[in-house]
Amino acid sequence: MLHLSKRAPLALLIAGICASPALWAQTTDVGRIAVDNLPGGTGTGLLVQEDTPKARSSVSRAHMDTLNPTANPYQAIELLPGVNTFSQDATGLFGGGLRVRGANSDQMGFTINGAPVNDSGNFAVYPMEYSDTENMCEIFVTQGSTDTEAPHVGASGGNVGMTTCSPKDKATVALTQTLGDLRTNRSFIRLDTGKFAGDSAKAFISYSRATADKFKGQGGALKEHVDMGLEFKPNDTWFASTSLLWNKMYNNNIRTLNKADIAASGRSLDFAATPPKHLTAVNGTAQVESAPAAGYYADNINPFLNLLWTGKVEYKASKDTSCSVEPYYWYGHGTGGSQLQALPEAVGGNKIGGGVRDLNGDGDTLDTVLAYGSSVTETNRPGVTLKANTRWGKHDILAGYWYEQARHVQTGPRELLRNDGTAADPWQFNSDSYILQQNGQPVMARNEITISTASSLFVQDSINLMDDKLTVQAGLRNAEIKRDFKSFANIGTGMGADYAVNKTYSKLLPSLGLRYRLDNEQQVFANLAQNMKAPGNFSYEGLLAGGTVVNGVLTGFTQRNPAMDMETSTNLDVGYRIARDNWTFSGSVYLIDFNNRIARAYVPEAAAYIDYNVGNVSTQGIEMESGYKLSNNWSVYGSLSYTSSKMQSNLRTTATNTEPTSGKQMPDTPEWMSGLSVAYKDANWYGNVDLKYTGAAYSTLVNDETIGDYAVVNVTAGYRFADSGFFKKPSIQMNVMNLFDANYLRINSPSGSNFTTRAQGPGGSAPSYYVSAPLYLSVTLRSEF
Amino acid sequence: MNAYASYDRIPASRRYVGLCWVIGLHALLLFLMVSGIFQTTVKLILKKPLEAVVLQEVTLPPLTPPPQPKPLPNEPRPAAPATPQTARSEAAPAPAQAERAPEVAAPAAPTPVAHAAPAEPVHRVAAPAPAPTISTASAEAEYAGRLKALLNANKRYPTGRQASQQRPQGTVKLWFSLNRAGSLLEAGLLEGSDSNLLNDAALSTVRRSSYPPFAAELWPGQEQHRFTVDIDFLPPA
Repeated sequence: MLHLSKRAPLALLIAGICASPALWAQTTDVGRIAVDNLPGGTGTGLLVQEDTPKARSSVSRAHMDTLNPTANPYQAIELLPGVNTFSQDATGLFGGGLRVRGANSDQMGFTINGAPVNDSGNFAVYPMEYSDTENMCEIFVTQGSTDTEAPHVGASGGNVGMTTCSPKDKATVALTQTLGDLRTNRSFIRLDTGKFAGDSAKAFISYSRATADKFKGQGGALKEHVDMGLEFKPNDTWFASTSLLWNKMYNNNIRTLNKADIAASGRSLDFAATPPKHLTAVNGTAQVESAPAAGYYADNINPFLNLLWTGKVEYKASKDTSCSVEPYYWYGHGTGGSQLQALPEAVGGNKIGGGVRDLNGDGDTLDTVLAYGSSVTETNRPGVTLKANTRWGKHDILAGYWYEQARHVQTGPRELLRNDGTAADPWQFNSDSYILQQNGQPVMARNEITISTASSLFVQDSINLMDDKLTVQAGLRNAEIKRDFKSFANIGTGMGADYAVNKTYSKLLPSLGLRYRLDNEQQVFANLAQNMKAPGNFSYEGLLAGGTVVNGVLTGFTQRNPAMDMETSTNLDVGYRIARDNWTFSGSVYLIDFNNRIARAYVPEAAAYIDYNVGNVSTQGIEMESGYKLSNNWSVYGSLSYTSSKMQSNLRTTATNTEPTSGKQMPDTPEWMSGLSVAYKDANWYGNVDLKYTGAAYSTLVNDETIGDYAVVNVTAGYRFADSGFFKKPSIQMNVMNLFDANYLRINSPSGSNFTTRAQGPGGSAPSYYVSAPLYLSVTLRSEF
Repeated sequence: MNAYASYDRIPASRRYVGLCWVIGLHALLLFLMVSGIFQTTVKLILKKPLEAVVLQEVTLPPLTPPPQPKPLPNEPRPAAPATPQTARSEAAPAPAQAERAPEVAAPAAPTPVAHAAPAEPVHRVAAPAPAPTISTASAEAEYAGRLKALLNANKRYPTGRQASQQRPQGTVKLWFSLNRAGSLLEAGLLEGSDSNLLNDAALSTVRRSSYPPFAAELWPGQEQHRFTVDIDFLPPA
């Protein structure tokens, strides 16, 4: 019997040793092959040779390395098929919007290292909080269908996963410094311990600080970010890892404009640079202040603090069976929107809480005074995923349970606005600064706690048949979220008394995927999956009607039921892929059926506009992506998406009016999009030219206002120097964003399917837009030590 | 029908501009793909010489039996030591192939490991009769090289949610047997990695490939032949 040493040379040949040639006497070692780098034309880092039985795209480090280091994950995936995204500015520090196959970011499930990061209340996503580009190793997008094991209850449109890089094997110090237009200044340092504890452990920590001005108006962004990671593998059966993300951001908002604003004042119109002044307080007369239409830039801020800890302990029970425990904890605190609020001083038993005091100190309570305040959100969100994976014959079975309980405190306190137009505590962390009512409680525009208990029990079986030619992946998950909502009496509309809402949304979600290999290069796949999205907790706000305030307490009111139910979608992909030495292609056609789409509509019973399920949307489309390796130096990537997303019913907007939305294209969903990237790389030089074309789209439900099509070109060029002295892998990189200074508008990213009904005619209101960020240039120096 | 419904429709001309844009873009890509440049590259790749699979060596079995199926209890042991010259005789690559060598240096091709330094000489033995002639040996090495090229072309890093989140790394050593027609009979793991995703991807690489039949001079008299290969996986960089 023969065995080949691991170090045996290539093509070891043994002949005629055994008398019986048919038996296992003869073994030839073919040698060692390496699956690494970016094979098959994937050199741009914008695609991989995908093998899963569903539509899926991903970007890897090779692409991340070429981004402007301030970029957010949306910018990293902008060229992928089906992805419709924009950044509010060139740096990415202010966030942006994302839709995939017409589904908004809050209809998609986002994870970092497996932990969900959508807002636990309204599923909103804030891409600028999540990462430093240097630490991000992969971002994947599953278009249309949510992965069975993904921890989501708000993902009716697919999911996006971000994976941070493991700590490095070798001890390193890496520094990055970026300077650019808009006074961009970003410094990044990362320390890797290298392997320690007998090569069983490795860790890293990184810190970055980035600042940039807004491209219009006053103000800017400040972002500080810390990432930490530790991996520990004491032996072959145990593995543990932990990561920590800390992000602190203080951003001024970029003002959105409607078309009339732009026509009248130009695209660079922004919030006012001068603060609103308090009126001179005069006893006995009413001073009525109101928030100026142009706002004030310093009171249009988005300060946020986030912390995400993730852990993982994996135990390999046998060759075929492993299980893992993956806990996480998310903390978030911040505020956003416009913070200028007019607050009446009115005092009396007929005011909630007895009303507020004399704010301007003129001795009367006749005034309305500008105060500082907006929605403050604090989230504490622990969760855990338990998973077991076992091989059994041709079956690869993954089963598990995800559980989390998010405690979401949302308040709307008010602070005194100082004469310089700012507040003492813009974060509104400190309740001592809140303005109190006569009853001693802070005056609030909302005051609620939502305990969201979400869980998912899932099982997935991947069956390999016909010598791996056919893979059948069947999945089933029971997604459930229980919302325990309590609102405490506040001055917000319909929230004058304490009330509670308890709702549970639960749905069994099956999926079935097939992947069949036609030959060693080609495959076809089909995937059918059901998804669900629970309503956001904001649908429980403002449920009270009627009643009178007596002694500061609302009595005699009625509480209506929240109007929304969960939305569900069914997604079908049918696709074809080819992976050759120089060429990788993946294309699919898909069909999505959205039921009970959540949107703002008129509800006759409540005689009000509220978020409501307004019917079905049918979406069909085509997505293609392809990468070619033109030579050892040149790679090219192209993507193409077509989306037809039609509403299936008319929308009732008042008791007597119905809007003709049936058959109309969903807003913010261009029919055509395309991405192109041409990349060059040699021993020293590297660079790429990226182009994204976004077709024209509508911005209202009745399709009476359009957003024009546009193409943006971004360029990266870099040079890697030879190591020199202390400097290892030093490099210089230039990033140019929006090279041709394309002018375009992007709709102010609304939630879900929530759009302006009409821009024109009776009941119309003008949609507001982010204007395109102009040409931008930055230079980045990198080195390791 | 509401009178306002048709306001500000996207004009047809505008739509077609977009459409032309994207079609043009992809036509360009298609053109690049089928253009001379690309075809040349394909040709070079397809005719990629059969790796630097040049050393033929004969190795004594190790003392510990490997985890193979159907072990042979009474397998005759080889006896006579090899003359080093025979054992190390290199099958020089055909000149024509050597000329095309530059394309082989593509990043996809693994760097040849230190194969020139053979394992402990103690283990090297001569092949007993029927001793392969140098031409047979080189033909067999060439065949092994073709297998290596095929596996190289069909190797894949695992994809999917688990792979994206775990990004496993490791080496899988596996065996597979082919019959004379080049059909895959069986495949299995010799030494798996820690990751089942990688083990599956490795087996899949072997199962996905189709292999050329054995020429008459290859492993004469054998109905089937067994091969081993090591696959090193690194997540996409």
